[in-house]
Amino acid sequence: MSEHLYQIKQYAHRLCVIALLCLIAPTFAAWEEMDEEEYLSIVTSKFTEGKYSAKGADNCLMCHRRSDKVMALFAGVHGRTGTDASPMSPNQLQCEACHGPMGNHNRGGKEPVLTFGVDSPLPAEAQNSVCLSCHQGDERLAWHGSTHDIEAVPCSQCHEIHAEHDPSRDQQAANDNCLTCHQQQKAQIHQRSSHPVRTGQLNCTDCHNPHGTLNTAMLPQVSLNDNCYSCHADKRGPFLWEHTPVAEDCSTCHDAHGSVNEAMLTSRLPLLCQSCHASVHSGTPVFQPGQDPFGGGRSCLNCHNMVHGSNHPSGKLLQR
Amino acid sequence: MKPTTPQWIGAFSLMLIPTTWALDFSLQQANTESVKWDAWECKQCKPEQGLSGHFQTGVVNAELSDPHAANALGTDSDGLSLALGADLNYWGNDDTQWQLSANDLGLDIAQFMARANRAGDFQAELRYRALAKWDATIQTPFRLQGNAFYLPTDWQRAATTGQMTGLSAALHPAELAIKRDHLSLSVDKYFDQIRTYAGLSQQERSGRKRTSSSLLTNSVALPEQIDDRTLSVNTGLNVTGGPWQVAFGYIGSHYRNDADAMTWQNPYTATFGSALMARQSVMPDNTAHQFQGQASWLQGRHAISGQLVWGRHQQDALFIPATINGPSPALPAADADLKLDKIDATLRYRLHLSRKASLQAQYQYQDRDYRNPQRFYPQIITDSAVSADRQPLYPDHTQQQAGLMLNYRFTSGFSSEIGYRFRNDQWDNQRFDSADTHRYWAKLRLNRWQPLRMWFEIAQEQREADDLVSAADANGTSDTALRQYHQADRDRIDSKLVVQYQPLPALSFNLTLNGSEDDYDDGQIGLDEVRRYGYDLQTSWYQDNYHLYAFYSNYDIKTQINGSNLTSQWRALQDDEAESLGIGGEYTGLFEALTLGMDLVYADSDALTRIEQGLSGNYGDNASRRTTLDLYGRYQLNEQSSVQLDLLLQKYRDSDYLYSGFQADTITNVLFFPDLSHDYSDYRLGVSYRHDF
Repeated sequence: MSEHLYQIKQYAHRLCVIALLCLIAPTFAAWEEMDEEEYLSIVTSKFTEGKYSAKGADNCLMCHRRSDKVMALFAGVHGRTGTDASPMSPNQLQCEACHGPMGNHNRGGKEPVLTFGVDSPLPAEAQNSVCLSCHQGDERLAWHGSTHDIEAVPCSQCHEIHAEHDPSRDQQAANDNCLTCHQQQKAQIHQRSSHPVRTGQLNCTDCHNPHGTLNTAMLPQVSLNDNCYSCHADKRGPFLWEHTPVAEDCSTCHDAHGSVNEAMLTSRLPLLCQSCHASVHSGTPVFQPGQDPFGGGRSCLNCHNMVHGSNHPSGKLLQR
Repeated sequence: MKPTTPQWIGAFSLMLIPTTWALDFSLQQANTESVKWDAWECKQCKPEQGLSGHFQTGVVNAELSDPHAANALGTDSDGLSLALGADLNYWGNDDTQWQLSANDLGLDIAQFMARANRAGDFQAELRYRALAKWDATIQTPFRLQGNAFYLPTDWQRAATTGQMTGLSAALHPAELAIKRDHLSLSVDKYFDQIRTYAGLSQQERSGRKRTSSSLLTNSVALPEQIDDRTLSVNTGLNVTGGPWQVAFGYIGSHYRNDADAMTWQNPYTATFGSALMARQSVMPDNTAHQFQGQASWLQGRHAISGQLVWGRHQQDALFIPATINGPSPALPAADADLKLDKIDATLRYRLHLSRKASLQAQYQYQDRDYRNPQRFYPQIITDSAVSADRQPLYPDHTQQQAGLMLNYRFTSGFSSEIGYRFRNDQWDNQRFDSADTHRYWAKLRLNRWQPLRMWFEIAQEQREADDLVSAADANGTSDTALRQYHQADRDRIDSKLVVQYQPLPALSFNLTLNGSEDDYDDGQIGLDEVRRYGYDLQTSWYQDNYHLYAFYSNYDIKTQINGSNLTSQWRALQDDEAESLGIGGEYTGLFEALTLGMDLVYADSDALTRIEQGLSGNYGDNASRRTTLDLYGRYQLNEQSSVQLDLLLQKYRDSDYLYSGFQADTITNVLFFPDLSHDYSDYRLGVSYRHDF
């Protein structure tokens, strides 16, 4: 019994230690405690002065070669030395291309350099200016002013430079990157109907460009409908008889991230249709589903099947 | 640390040098005058050469009682299937990178990619994706010949489904599933600061999906055959030149449907004597072109970007005859000759007022203009009864948006944003001619204290529609009090609070609260109110040799719809709840060679519907419950080899008041598929061998 009590005490003690650590644990490195203005002042002056090392990466690796994390750079694309497109080329600034001029950092490592990550004292915009030096154009043309730029998301929040594999290149890891912040969308992909992101068939980046676009919701296509048409070209039309809300905006009826209804519909049949149609025919309430064509089978779609548009000469009512 | 002279230079730079308005540490701004390049050899830089990565080969054994389970299991083949995977990387001497990756090749859901690239020189990529969606196994009395649906020769027509004496005997199974094969090839070539690219892709779909068709007041459910392909090309170039970037591109796409119509034999007693067959249109072939130009310019405190896009969708598929039984009324043309022209333009300007404040203005213009011939088309009631000719009316639409937002960073890790956006919509041939929408928002972001991050955002939006016009076509006139929700006056408010707490490097908690309310305040009939509330909880614990996670989310959506059939009004209430719960983790190094992992997710979507009109009635079940368990164990045989055992199990059940418990003849004038609901517990067991290089 006393041994049991002792174990409980031990657990309680550990719990208290963990709780205390939770409250006070500092998670920053030496200069990360530095006041932001002071830090920025130092790294800016070093950058302006351009006090680069005498021998480039060889100087840095004198100390940092013992770090697996640092040396993992040479397993990935940023560690190549044979092309000038890589920062580690002899014709490029090597480590200092990203981390800025060494200055006096090699004298004990107390002088700060540019660092990256969510916890870096360097603002995200400043971090990203380094990456965008080389990674400009292409899908990043519209980065400036995009949602992730404004929300100060550093590139390193999703990308890993010192690694053989950038996690954003892995489908599951890339989706996890997105869904860590976009929790509502994470919840939606588990709902009754959703695009198959959950099962790994699709990626978030199939429909969004996280590096920013000049379109709504960082969609790569010029409009929401055009984005949908890139996979659902059969719905593109134009149709002889258009269903006007459909032609204007797919999201009028569908929630692309998921829904409790079938086919990612924002509401259920026949109520979805009855939200916009209230004639003698279409506005009839259904009290008992399963009794008639309105409340059973495919509901309104039993007859008005061509809801995305009809090309039948007599298809005005989207029946044919 | 006491400031030294160089720091004063930095402080001075921070305040005055124009480039520091935006804190620019880019290579283009680097002062490299003092660099002695001859000494920069990097003798210790030893980039990896040769082959790395892994390949794996294995077999899976799936046990499926319902093909719907294949959505989770990746294959609809009962029994053994081969599954191949790889992730290989090869560095050539000239820093050319060769990559090959494959996932579940041999199963119905699979991916393959092969790529060669040399940074700043070229890239070529071949990609294949096999996607699929399984719906259900249905029962139909029709004999399927592509998209022609015939009844058994001894079929006895009847006025109602209940009187179809041969129905039960004629029912036979057919699978509703659509598989997509997507193949793409792209090539990039760099010429100094110019990147040129070209790509070609094809998506093929095959299978069957549920659809319906009708003759006068009778309807049938049909398993429509899908056999189509979309061919797309894209080409263009991007040019970077210091502070500016320019891109021009073309995207072309052609959709071709192998079917041009669906025909079906009428199982009902023909109302007008000879209506023994019926025909329905399918999705027509169509083509899209798009030319786009984009540019951006970044200099000091200014960032400007914009785009101009012109596109055209066109469709000239041949019409099918208006009737199939007897003579067809003359049509005004052989095809519709339809064209939709699109113009999209965006201009965005961001100004750094100071190092802490930035202002962004954006303008967007979007125009959709149908350029179609004005023709009248005969409308048939049945093949032998023609009603009046009708002219299609097309929803031309122009939208303009202008917005302004101010971001201010009070101090490190503490920032805010306020913004306003105005939107104007102009429509043709819709219930409203125009609408103005005003949206205001504010955000507060706080990550001042390292273990704790939080942000809060709130937005309000008002839409006011103008110039209500009577329905453009009197056919089926709705209640005049109806306001269609995609145009109607609406007040919307939405907010979000996110709290992230990371007390230890290994431990994190995340709480997200979401809420929004849409109030369609002007409409008496139509969608009246939508309220969404939800929260998400997430925690994870990471250590070198193991990690654990758990998440839970709960969302509640309440919707009110006011309906009318002109003589009476009624109200519908929807109360939807969705929750998901997940736990899992992985442990590496058990007995020094064993890795064990588990992911367990439970998801429940439950939707209640209630109709009120004096009396009230509740609709039946509309719900789905899914439990997915993924268990795996990997044993390291040696440094380069391992074997893995996987179990993927899914227990799933759903219901829908529209068809749960249905028989083919439940509704007198709808010949439907018997119950499409699912209730199964299926699994997939896999064993694989992996070799690492």
